[in-house]
Order: sequence, then structure tokens, then C-alpha cells
Amino acid sequence: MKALKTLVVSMLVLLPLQVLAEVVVVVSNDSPISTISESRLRQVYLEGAGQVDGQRVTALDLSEENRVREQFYKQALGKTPAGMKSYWARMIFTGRGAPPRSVSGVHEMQIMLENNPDFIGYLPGNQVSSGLKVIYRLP
Amino acid sequence: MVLSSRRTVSVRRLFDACFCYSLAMWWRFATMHNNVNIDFFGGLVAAITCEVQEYYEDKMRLPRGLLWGAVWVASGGAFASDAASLNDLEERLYRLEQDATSTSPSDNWTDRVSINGFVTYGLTRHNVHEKQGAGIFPNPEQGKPFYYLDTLSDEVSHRELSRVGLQFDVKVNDRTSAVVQILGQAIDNYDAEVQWAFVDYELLPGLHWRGGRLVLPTFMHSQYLNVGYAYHWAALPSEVYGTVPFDTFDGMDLTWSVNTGPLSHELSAFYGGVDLEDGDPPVTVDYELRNYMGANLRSSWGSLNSWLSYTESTFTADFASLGLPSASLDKEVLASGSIGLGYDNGSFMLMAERSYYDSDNWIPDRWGGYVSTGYRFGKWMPHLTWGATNSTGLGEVLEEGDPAKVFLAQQSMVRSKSWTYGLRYDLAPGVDVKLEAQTFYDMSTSSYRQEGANLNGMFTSSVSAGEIDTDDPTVYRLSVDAVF
Repeated sequence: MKALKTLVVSMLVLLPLQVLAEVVVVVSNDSPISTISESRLRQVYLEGAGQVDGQRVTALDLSEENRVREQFYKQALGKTPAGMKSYWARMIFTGRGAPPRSVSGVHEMQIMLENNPDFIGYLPGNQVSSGLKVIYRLP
Repeated sequence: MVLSSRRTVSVRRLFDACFCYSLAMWWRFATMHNNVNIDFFGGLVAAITCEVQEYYEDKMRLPRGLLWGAVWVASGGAFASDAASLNDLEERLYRLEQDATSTSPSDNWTDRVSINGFVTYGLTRHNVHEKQGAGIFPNPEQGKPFYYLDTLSDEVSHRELSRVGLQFDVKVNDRTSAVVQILGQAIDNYDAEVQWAFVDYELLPGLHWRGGRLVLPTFMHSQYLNVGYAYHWAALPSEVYGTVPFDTFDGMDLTWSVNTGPLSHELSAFYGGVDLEDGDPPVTVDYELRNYMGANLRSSWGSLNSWLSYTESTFTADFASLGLPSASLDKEVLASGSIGLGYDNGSFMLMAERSYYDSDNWIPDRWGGYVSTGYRFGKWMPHLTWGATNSTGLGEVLEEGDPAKVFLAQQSMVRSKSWTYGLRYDLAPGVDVKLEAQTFYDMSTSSYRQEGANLNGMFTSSVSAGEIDTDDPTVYRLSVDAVF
């Protein structure tokens, strides 16, 4: 009984930690972009690239297995991983587009974004490195 | 003896050479393999490894490259305790990623070519076990099963739904690309046919011209008809997608992608022609469709999307080979179109489409439509679809009474309604399993003309087959789809 109580209490304490960190959309400090609207963010990630404040940006993705990617697509586009895969199957096999380039991890995402102001990406809120600025916070 | 020792030396040399070669090939294969883009989104990793290889090959430092590769893989980056070497690796990585992201043409074909594919394996049958009758006209298929869409019987078929497609995308330069998609269908013994083969040129940002062989954009899902993974059904609703018997044309299209505020649009126009041969030799009919043109608009706004299309062509066919010369068609106008709406917020899905097909002479006009809804519970998605189709506009032909025209018209008339109960399960990223049952009802066109009317919807068009007695004629489907 005591063990059960301990378990319940520890779960109650630990549960909030299970909630994933906030995801933010970032660009290089050198980019003129300071903010992006939800709908434009959606368009950029559905087309792989797009114009933001007159600036051409190319979208970057984290790898498919990455939980942050799953969270990003769920919150920003309302899409599941299978839903996105299905969407890109429709685009690729009709010759209408190709998915954003994926980078291997958070660290690679930081490096890519820091060094090229034409890229747009997303990161966990606590992984924004000094060369990057946040232009959108997912709800 | 001398010979033997020389042989030993040469064998040893050969061994050394093979060892070096296999190391090199191993490296090459490892990188090539990635470049074939097995992972849908994994192009970057592939490009990086490839660049690593290229870099070292350039410098003739393959062994060191292998060493670095091994260190890189084994340490996973994170275990590199030495900060200096980590920075070095980062810098290297950045440079390589930059190279990989450069849009300038590369001499390395693996950077410019991507290969994607789709495959479906499906089982299907229906539950109408009765045989076709004799009827008022002689029925050449008397005693045979009723065939749904001309081919499917009450025996389990592995061939109806099974197919495979392979697509090669080649980036020629910044603005030009070439795409070839080959499709093999089990029903055609996997004889490969080219579905797409075009050159794409970006005239202006967002404005693309394509020329070659393209898939007809007749209805909302027509252009990815064969990519099972792209939709939730095991087979697209036949009420709409069973109405046009050909799917590709030779010609060109022009597509403009534009965003207006939160709305995204793709406006496309196309022009070309279709040539096809139907029937079994020696009794074949050549169909010629000229001035095949049309336009369509695909829009999306958040979870909402819409589709609007119109297509027109002139149709010529000589039916003399069938012994029905009076029914031959000479530049008859065919027009078709559809309007579609969809909502998908990631869990709840609702989709509807209404299509029509109008033509002159004895070809019946026909409309079709469906409404489909589903809900995703994690990896499971149960869905429900209602569909209907009907042929109209034949009063004049039937009254006129030319026997050849009446015969063909009545064979071509279809009336049908159905309920489809389906379940889709996401097995793994890029792989799904689908289970489906489509139950048909209201399939008789006898209200047009009692004698010789098609009574069986899409189960057989033979006017002499007799009416199906089976309660709830149902088509069952089980399929596995993958994209890669």
C-alpha cells in the first residue's frame, strides 16, 4: 500500500516533467526576419520554402524519428507524421514538390541556421543558441 | 615450383588489392545506398556522407576518411570529449552541409538524382457467387461470374490492387528538372508503363511549365490514383474514379503557385492529346482524343482545402471493327469536371467530391459523387463513405432507335450507390494496412428502358447477364501500401 502511495505521489511529481518542452521557430541573427505568422509558417513547411517579409527562406526539418519534429507538425500544422508522409507522397508523385531537407539533430540544426540566414528551422525552446533568434513560439 | 611461388605472390597481391578495393567499395556502397534515398527525408545525411567521401577521394586520403568516418559513427559526436576536435568536426559538418545545400549544379549525379517509389499489395474479391444468365440478347459471358469493373470476380484476386511505381527526379539546373515515373500493375503482369515523363522549367518563381507525358488532372485525386499511401481508401471511390477509362495524356501544363494571405493556391492549365487502343486483337478500337485541355484550381486554408476542375476534348473512334459502324464517333465533344472539398485537422477528416462527364452522341452523360468521413485514433482510422453515380442524357439516342447506338448506350449506362466501411492502420512510417468493404445498392437503370437496360451497376455492363439476386453485393479489399 505504501509502495503504491509512493508510486502515485512520485508520478504526480514527475508527470509535469513528461510534458515536452516548448518548440520555437528560429532563424539566424543575420536574417532580417523578426516574426512569422502562423499561416505563413504553415505555407513554408507545406511548400518546403517560401517568402517571409520579402525574404526567401528554405525550411529545414529534424529527422523523422525526432520527437520535436512530431510536436512541431502537430502544433504548427495540425498534422501527424503519417499525415505529413501522405501529403508529401501526393506532392512527390505528382511532381509538385519535395519535402524540406532534414538535418540529423538539434545540434546540426543550430549549426545550419547560424551559418545561413536563408534557412528557417525549429528547436526546443531551451536549445536556442546565441547565433539564433526566435521568430515564433508554438502555442 | 617457380610457377607455384609466382602464383603465391600474385595471389597475395590479388588479395591485397581485393581487400583495398572492398574497403573502398564498402565506403562507396554505404554512401551510395544512402543516396538512393531509402529514407524519404534522409537526403541530407546521404549528401553529407557522400561529400565526406568526395572530399577524401579528392585528397587521396581514403584511409583517413575511413578512420574519421569510424570515429564519427562510433562517437556519435556527443562522446568526443576533446572540445577542439568537436569544433573541428562541427566546422567540417557545416561546410559539408553547405555543400549539400548548394543549389548549383553538381558533377556528382547522386546529388542531382532522387529516387522515390510506392508499392501496394492488395487482396480483393466480391460476394456475388451467382453466374451470368443468357438474357434476351446472346450473352458471350453466360455461365461466367459477374465481374466488378470488368475484372474482379468472387474469387480472391491478388492482382487487382497490386502495383508498384518508381520515380526518378533529376535536377538539371537551378530552374530545370526532369521526372520519370514508371508504373507496373499486377493486372497487366507488371508490364511497365510510363505514367509521368516530363521536363519541368520554372519560368518565374512559382510558375512552372511542364511538357511530356503527364497524368490527367480530371478529378481531385486523379493524379495520384495509383499511390495508395496518399489516401485513406484501399481503392478510390469507383463512382467518380471509375468513369474515365484512361489516365495519362501527352502534352504540357502550366502551374502557378500563389499565396493570398492565409490561402494557398495552385492554378493549373493543360493542353494535349490522348491515343489509346482498347479491346483484344484483332478486334480493337483506336480512341483518339484531341485538343485535350482544361484547368484546375487547388486551394487550401488551414485545415480546409478545395478543388475545382474542368476538362474538354474531342473524341474520335471507329467502331467498324466491332461491326457497329453507325455508332462511330467523329470529333464528339467530351467535357468533364469536378468540385471537391476537404477538411482535415489531423484527427477528424471530411471529404466530398461531385464529378460530371458530358458528351455528345450515344455516350451517356454521367455524374458521380461521394462523401467520406473518418477519425484518427492514434494509428487507427475508421472511415465511412457514401457514393453514388448515375447516367443521364440518353433520351434522344434511345428514341431515335439506331440499334448499334442503343446497344452501346445501354451497355455504358451505370447507376449505382454504395456504402464503404473502412479501416486504415499506420503500420510504420510510410507503411499502412487497409481493410475495406463496399456494399452496393440501387444499381438498375431499367427506368430508362425496360429491355436491355444495365441492371447491375458496375458489376457487369452486359445487358443480358440478368439481375444480381445477391443481397448486398459487396466488394472486400485488404491492402498494404508503402512509399519510399
